[in-house]
Amino acid sequence: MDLQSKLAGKFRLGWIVAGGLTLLTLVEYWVATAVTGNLPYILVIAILKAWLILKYFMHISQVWDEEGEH
Amino acid sequence: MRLFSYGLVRALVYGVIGLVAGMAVTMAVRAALGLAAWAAAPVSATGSIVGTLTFLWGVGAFTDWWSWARGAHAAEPPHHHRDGPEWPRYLNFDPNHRIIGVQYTVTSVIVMLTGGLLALTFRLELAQPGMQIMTTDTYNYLMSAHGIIMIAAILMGVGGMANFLIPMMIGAPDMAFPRVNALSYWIAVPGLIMVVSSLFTGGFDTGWTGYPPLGVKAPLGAQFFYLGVFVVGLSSIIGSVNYIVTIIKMRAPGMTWFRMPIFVWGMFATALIQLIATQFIGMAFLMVVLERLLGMGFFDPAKGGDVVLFQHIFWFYSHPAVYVFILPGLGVISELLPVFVRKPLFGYKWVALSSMFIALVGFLVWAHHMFATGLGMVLNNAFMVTTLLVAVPTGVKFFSWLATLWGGKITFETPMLFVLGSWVIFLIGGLSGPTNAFIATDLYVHDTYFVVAHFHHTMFGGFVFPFFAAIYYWFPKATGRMYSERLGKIHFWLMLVGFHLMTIAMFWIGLHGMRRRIADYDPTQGFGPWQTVTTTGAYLVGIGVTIFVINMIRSARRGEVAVPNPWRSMSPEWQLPSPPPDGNFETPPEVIGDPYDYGLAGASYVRVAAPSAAGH
Amino acid sequence: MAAHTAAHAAPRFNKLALNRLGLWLFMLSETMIFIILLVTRFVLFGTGMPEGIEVDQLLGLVITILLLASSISAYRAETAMAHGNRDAFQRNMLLTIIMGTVFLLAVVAWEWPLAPHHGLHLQEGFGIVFFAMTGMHAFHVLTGVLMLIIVYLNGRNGAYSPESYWGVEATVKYWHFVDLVWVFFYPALYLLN
Repeated sequence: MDLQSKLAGKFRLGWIVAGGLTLLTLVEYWVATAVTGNLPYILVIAILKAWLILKYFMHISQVWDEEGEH
Repeated sequence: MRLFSYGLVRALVYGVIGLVAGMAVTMAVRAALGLAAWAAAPVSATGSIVGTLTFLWGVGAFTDWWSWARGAHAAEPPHHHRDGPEWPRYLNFDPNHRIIGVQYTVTSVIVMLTGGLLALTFRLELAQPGMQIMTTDTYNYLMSAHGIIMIAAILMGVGGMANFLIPMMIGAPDMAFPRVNALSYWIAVPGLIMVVSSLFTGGFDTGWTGYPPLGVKAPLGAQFFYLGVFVVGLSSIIGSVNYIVTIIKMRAPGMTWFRMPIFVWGMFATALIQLIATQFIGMAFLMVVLERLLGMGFFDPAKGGDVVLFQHIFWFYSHPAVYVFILPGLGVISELLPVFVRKPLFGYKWVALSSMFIALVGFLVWAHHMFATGLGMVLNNAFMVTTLLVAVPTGVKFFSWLATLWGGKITFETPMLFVLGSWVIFLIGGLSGPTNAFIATDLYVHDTYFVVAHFHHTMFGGFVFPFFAAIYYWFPKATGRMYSERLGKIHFWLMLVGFHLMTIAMFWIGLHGMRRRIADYDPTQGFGPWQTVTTTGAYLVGIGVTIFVINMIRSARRGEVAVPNPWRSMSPEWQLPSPPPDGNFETPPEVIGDPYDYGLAGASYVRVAAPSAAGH
Repeated sequence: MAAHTAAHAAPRFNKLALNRLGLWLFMLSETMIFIILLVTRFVLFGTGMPEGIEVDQLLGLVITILLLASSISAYRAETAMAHGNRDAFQRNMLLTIIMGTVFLLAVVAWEWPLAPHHGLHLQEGFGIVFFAMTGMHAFHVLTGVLMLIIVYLNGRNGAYSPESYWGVEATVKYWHFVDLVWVFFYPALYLLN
């Protein structure tokens, strides 16, 4: 039971990150249509998205933290 | 079908079947699409890709992964039992690092002989002005193939030293991913076959750099050359993942970063370069192949492409690549010097870090190959400064070696002779470097024999001589037998004299305006006698290498049995039986001191448990 | 007695840590391929979109959201396996495979045939980098989908457990990596002006 509530927490985290990513994508799309010379803004948004994916989906911190045994 | 039990035979048969099948399918698809069924370029391209895959399938590279994909439990890589003779292991997909190291090394020597034969052939043509024995096209094909085949040979040699030595030197039982490791060797074999087969499929006349637009218009051989290099590059990348993980994660207890052997430091820097940069030559060549096959105009200004872009992408690998070639060699020099001098290596930490610094700066200098391209003064100057920076860490190494030699009890066995030889050759190579690094002088010597001589100095001093030193030095470890010291010394002196005859003449006529990569030259310029000297030197080198091959084959079969530690080395690999058992150490060795404390009373590097009597 | 030499290696190293580092290094190396393609795009065509190119913005947005959604289901599949919920693992795995396949088809079977109508030609102009970048990415999507299918089938036969699911973790990480590449490719191919 404890494991399953932990899973529910992880799923919730997934939805939050997913919401962030979707929002950023929509903002990106809006910037593309509304702003000219948009490279700097889009670059910042893309890096933010990449950071979210690397941190929450790919668990990049495992590379330097030796935790996370299966 | 006893023959079929050897992976190599199986692989070749499967490879040919795959090649033919791939070509047939492509022709069928083309016919179905309403195109002419036969078009040499696309049909042979898909054929060679399918052939590469079936080659790997035939050798057994996919067996374990395939059964894993079908749901079987992933097993530990199978380690052979030693009942039969050992040599069939060298012809099979074997996950043991020692076997793979020898496979790489032997392949390297074979490929090097191939490239050397090409050089000897076209040197004959160059010995006199006028065309005597071949056409200018043939000359171009041989010269281009010589370049890339030698580079492939060097990559194989680097893989050989790395695989054989890294696990033993850091006290690990094997590489981190033994199966992947074997794959990295076997995938290189079809790549090498493709590169060599470029000679028989029309050749390519671009030089090893393969610049477009010439590379796009070159005969079909160019396609095999590009694809072959791509596949060999894959091998480098896969191998480097293994080296890095092994070095970071699998060091013996007590082996901190600054207690690692210098060779391992050199290989770590090398692997980082290979991992990050190899993609660049692969993509540059892939884009040219796409331009050849599909007409995608990456490098065609008429279609919106850019020729200079190719040079940038290409040199972003191909300059760091020369550090891939030399860093392991320089590591071997640092490794062997203290043993034969019986003194600690001078400035261990600085030497270790200098390899990393060379790797880092190596990424910032690529455009110094393009001073004549016309990048503008700002960029040219920036790259001149970064290029000259390379001299600093290289100088650290030189002064360390000098200080190590100082006052030592030097003995002159063959490996030590090769170390000293490479020291001299690499010094001249290094000193002729700034001439090419300064824009003013580079514009004068660009594309002359001066550059050729400089490059051959760095390659012979940074790779070839250390590689021979390493082969002689670790030959007893790999085979359990001793090589012939007499033949080894003859080999060395022939190589040393021959090489200097070759390059001194090249430096001289290069400064006087002899262009490189051309088949003929004006007799009135007086280059003829110098070219004859160069050719003579090249043949002396060839004779030396022949003696080396004879020595190796004879000694491996009938040499006297080597004593356990012939060089009185403190390094872990020499505390093992020769050849070492699978898994190397029965219990992990323990590192209790610094690696090069030769000649210091009571110094000890590793504690290795004696092999149990039950074993061998 | 050669057998014991291999056996003693097992407890000395954390195989999972080795695998993870190896995968990350592999992905770092792969990143270079995509960086080269991005550099090619920016060197040849600057920071904007060349004249006369009208990419299908709606399609671009839809497939981007689709790939993002597949990344989320992949995350859920891995997390579910880590916490022992096999049903959720199967469900999300299947969802990821379907969305990945639809993405692949949308690019290769829908967008590519229409591309010439938007001014994108394989052999010249912006079309060169468009086809090269989407093609290289689609190739990685294809390998990712194949691996997801293998892992899905193996998972259905009970090959993984919360204690040991490296195959799941590796494939899902690779899938996120494919998504990560698209995070940069999408604006570079569709959004800049």
